[in-house]
Amino acid sequence: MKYLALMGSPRKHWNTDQMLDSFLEGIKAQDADAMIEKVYVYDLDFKGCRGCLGCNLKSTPANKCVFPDGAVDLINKTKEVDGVILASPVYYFTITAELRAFMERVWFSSRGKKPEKIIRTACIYTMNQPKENMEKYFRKDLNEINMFMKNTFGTDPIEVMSFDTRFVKNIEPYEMKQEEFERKKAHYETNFNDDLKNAYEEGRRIAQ
Amino acid sequence: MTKVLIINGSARKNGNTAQLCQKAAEGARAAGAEAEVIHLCEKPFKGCISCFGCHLNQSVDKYECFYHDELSPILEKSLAADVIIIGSPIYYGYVTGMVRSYMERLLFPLDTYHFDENGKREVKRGKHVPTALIYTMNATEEQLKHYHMDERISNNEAALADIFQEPCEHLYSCDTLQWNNYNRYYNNMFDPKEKQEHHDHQFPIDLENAFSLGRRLVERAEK
Repeated sequence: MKYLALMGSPRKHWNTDQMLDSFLEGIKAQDADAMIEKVYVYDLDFKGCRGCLGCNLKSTPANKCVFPDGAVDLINKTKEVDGVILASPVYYFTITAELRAFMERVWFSSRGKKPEKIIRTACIYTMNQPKENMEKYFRKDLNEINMFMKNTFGTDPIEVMSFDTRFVKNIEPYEMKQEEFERKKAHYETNFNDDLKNAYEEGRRIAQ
Repeated sequence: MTKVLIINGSARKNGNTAQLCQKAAEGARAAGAEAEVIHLCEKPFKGCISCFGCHLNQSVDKYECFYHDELSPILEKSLAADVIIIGSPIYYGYVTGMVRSYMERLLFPLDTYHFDENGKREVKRGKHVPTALIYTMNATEEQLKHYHMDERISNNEAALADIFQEPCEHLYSCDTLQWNNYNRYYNNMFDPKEKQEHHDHQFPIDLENAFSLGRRLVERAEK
């Protein structure tokens, strides 16, 4: 089985990246032959959908983005693998701008046609906000992303979340209250390992 | 002179969104302001890279994104503007990725992780800037409401209103004409004739609304 993992955070080795790695470890533990390609979306030289409508031309087969740039091959590859995994922090209520720019082109070029085969999907979301705020303010936005994944790939994504994340290691340089930093740190120490473990288990599940 | 910055967040420089942006600029000029339309698609840039430079203690009086690239001059103009209008087509129920990249880098450096005594998030800068979003979409107004797209996209308006401390207005231009020749494209969703008729009837009204929006925001800024 081939998997394509899209790391949609600009911060390498931080929470989102670690959650994704743990998920991918889970895949490997379940399926030793799994072939996994992990891509840092922020390293690609590309922009969002240009609205060129080239993918909608009758002469273009479904599931082909045609704008030639640093992302087009990967965009088209999402329809050829057996599993697609998104990982993104939440910035102002939704996934990061660059991951959205990438996914616009994945979704739009499908032209409402699912790929020939069923493609497994997963969405890993990390956020500064606690769970209650996610439910209250942007559950519906994330549902929407999950729905587009299902519409495009044919499967409901496995959803993995990490809440109330610690996003700086030292407070000194940052304009943040000491008690809030301490609370975040304690939350991180208590919960983040469990979040990673959960990601690992969900990674095993997608590969079953 | 009141400065109005209009951001075209569509990749099409002469499409529906761009035309509405130009009209809003005309409206702003008619109200005596200086107005510029910028096409985001002309510049290569990325969204916020979470360097947190803008959230350093010594950055409380720094409003500009710390990451420098070809978006930097546009961000500088945005901070100098007295009115900001952002035009975006709706892609998958949301503003474009490109608009989000711009917004992340405009808003986060003005934002803080500090709350005031009333529990309201502190904003670095005191300047009040009226803002608006102009949305263009293939969806009809009924679909916009039915699928709750209006609620989801209003998060963008809420963020702009919070950071710029002024209500953010919106203008919907629905059921837009996407193509000049529908026959070339794979679809059985649209009746080209109906689309053209709707466009001929509705789009001039939308353009007029964009003109009024530009004018009105200048008047609000000057109040």
